[in-house]
Amino acid sequence: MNRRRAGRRISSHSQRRGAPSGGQWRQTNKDQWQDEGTPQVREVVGEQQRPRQHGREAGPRGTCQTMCPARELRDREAQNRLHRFEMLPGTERDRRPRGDPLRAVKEYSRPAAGKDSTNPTELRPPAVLLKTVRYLIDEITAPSHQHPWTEVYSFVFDRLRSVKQDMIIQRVSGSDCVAILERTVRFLIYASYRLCGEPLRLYDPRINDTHLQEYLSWLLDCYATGSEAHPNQEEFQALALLYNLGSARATQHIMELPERLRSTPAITLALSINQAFLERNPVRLLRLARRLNFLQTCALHRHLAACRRDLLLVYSHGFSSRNCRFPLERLSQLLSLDTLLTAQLCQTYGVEVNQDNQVVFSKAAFSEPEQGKLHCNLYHSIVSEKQKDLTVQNIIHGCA
Amino acid sequence: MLRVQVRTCSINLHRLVLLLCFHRLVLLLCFHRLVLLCFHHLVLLLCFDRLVLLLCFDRLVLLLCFHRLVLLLLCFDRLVLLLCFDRLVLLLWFHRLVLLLWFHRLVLLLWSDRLVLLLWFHRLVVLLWFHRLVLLLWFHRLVLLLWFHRLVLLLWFHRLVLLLWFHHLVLLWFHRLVLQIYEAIDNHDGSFCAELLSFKHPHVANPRLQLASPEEKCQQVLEPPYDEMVAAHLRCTYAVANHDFVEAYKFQTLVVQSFLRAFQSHKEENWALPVMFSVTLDLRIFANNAEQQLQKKAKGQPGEMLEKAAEQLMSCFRVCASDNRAGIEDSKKWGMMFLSNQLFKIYFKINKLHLCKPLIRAIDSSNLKNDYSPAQKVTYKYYVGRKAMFDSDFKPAEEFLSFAFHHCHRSSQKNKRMILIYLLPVKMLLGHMPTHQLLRKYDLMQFADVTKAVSEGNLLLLNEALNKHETFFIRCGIFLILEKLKIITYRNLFKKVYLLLRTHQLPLDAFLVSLKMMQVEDVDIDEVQCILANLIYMGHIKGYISQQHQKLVVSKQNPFPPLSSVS
Repeated sequence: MNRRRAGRRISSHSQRRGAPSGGQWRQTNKDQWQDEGTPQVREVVGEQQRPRQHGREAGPRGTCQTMCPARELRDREAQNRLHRFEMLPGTERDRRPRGDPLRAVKEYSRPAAGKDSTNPTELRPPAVLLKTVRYLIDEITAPSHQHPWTEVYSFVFDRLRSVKQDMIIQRVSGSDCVAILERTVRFLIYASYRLCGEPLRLYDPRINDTHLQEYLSWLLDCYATGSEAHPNQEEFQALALLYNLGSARATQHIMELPERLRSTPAITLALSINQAFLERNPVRLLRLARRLNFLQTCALHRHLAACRRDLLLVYSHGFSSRNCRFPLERLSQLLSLDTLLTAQLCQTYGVEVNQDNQVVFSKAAFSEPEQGKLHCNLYHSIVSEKQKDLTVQNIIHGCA
Repeated sequence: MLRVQVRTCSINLHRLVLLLCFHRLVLLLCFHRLVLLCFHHLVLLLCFDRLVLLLCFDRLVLLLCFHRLVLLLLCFDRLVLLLCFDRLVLLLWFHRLVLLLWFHRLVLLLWSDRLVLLLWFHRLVVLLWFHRLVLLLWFHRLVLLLWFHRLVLLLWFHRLVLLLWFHHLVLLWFHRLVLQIYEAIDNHDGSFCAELLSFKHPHVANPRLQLASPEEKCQQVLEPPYDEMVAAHLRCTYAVANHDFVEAYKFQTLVVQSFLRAFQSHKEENWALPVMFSVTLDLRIFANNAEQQLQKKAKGQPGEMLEKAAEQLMSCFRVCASDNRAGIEDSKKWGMMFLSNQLFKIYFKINKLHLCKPLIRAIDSSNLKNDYSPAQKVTYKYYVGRKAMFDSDFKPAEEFLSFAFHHCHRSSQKNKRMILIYLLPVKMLLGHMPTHQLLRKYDLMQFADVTKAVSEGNLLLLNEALNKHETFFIRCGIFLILEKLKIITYRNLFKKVYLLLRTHQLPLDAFLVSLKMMQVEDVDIDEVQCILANLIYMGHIKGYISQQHQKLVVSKQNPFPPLSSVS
């Protein structure tokens, strides 16, 4: 009788915990659990898992009030792993340069098995993270250096990644998270335009794109699940759509936004540009693109090449006849380029331009350029003319 | 025993009677003494008679009580009876005393006025009656209380009996179910076993089966892993009865996992396929319900539970797909299409359509693909058609969705309507417009305006129609595809212009005017040229644009080929 009573006690206890009772059950459950928790899986999951907004307990609280934890600064100083921007001025040439605590920023380190990344003295609280991001933009990105911008980019990119990692570990959410993400997204979009055409070893557009998509989807999640109003939401929804022009998923997402948000001018314009892209109406697209501001055009610029190609392709078929004479100025107006560049573009696509600056369209003549022949950065005038007197700082902080 | 009681009662009664007689005697003696002393003979006689009457009356009362007592003896406890009786006796004594007192008073007053005497006498009578009433009431009360207590006792007793029966029945039901499952497994009766483990079967509503900890009893009858499966299933019914779908989902996962272990050990037999169908269906349904519950409480990521369910189903699918040894009749590959359909439903819900591709490839490469049941084939073609639609492969999409629509059973109107929602845009893009009757029959009048606009080339009406039913189209996910109809609308509009002008060299201005008539805003010649060039590129118009003459020159033969011939 005693045994039966004990058995009943175990089962009721485990029922409270929600796990099944009995030795066999526990065995099978443990096997299950062990299969899931392999170290590689956990590492990737740690990087990609995003904070849940509601209902979960808060993550560890960081206490480090400087941009770089003291221990890391000492370690990197000792191992001579400081970046140029973090050294004390005057000590750059030394054998062991000294780090400047006011300029050093915590760097990104990949999570690994056995490494404890939740030590509160190593984590920076959200206020410090925002301060770090402001510093990175105001002091590093904005001023003009003698160093090439690719170096600035790689430094800021890496440090922003560690900011993101701190945010994930502490499960930050709310207005702080949104402010940091907005600035990061603006920086990456600007960088995607500015560094377009740089050699692959200095700047990889694919990596930039992957990270930008991640940041964007996190930001849009924050907008969707947060309860407070976000003043910049329409700007970023429009940026997301322009960056992912023609993507069914992005369009569907915009379609599912509330009516009030969808009817704001920025999003309406982005939607019409998207519609023009889907309809394959490059003339309309390029005309509408003139109404975009600088940052939006940066987001759009990687689709401009495809747009121009479409125009040339469609016109090659539409105007294809022996007597076709299409004025080059007209074409350059449509493409928003000057005549010289237009002629160069036509040449790249195999479209013939005769001596009188008339384009002879022909179905058969159009051909895709070889890989690497098309240099996108030659045709950036549509974007660069909008930059005019905007400073980088204003662009990224969004005060333009 | 009853006779003894009667005897004692009678003894008591006789005693009382004797006593009464004695008292009467005493009274009489007193009275006679008084008579000797008094002078109002008549009055005294009256009093005396009355007294006698009273005594007789009391005796009568007593007899009546006694009879009642006798009657009640048949249904009452001896103690109660005695109590009553003793109380009665006491009361009677009391009354006697009272009577005596009064009588003495009366006697004393005999010396006074005769009226006063009478008054007192009447008062006495009244009091006696009153006391009698009181006695009766008390008596009845006692009776009632005793009955009440008896009833309570009976009820309690019955309740105990009921509880014992209940537990007995619980064990009976439980054993019955487990034994049935055991038999079904033994006889390899897949469909019956599936019923017993499915949530569509009425046994899940039986409160007697909703046990919180059935493992031990399951282990007694069934072998592993079936014991875990059935125990998890019963826990699941318990959770469902409490409307806790998150728990139910967890337990159903255990059911599926333990079933899969058993299924994998079945070499060259597939009788358990119906069981797999029913447990996986329940898993998906619970994952849906759990998601809804979590969403209401605003916990967890959307799609989390469904993704986990999809992983489980994928492992079942792998078990089925990798069964290469058995012959066709015993092969587990017959389960592949059902599982793919379930997986499609999940992937479409969480919007991860790219995961459908490996499933489609697997089914296409299997040699059983035309031999599955019509219901499964219809569902499969429906989802594959929808996927093709999203990938903009409209010709195969039309093929699949038409197959699904034609082979769908006539009675499933709702399914036919769902297929039609996706078939209509595809057909419209290929130039086939639906009739009004069809739209009315399936309650899809939202498409009526769109159809009219496209076939007339009326851009204005098309925009209005798309705006009006925007929410419906967005919810079904066909808004973007319907926007593609704009190109068809342009083509129809320009064809009208061609038909009106009856010439092969159409001025571009004419098209601009037609677009302006449709209230298309800020369109100019450049855009008209672009639209025309696009239509030429896509093959909807045969001809070319002459920039110098600002004209569209179309071919003399069939300048606007029919839509179905253009891909």
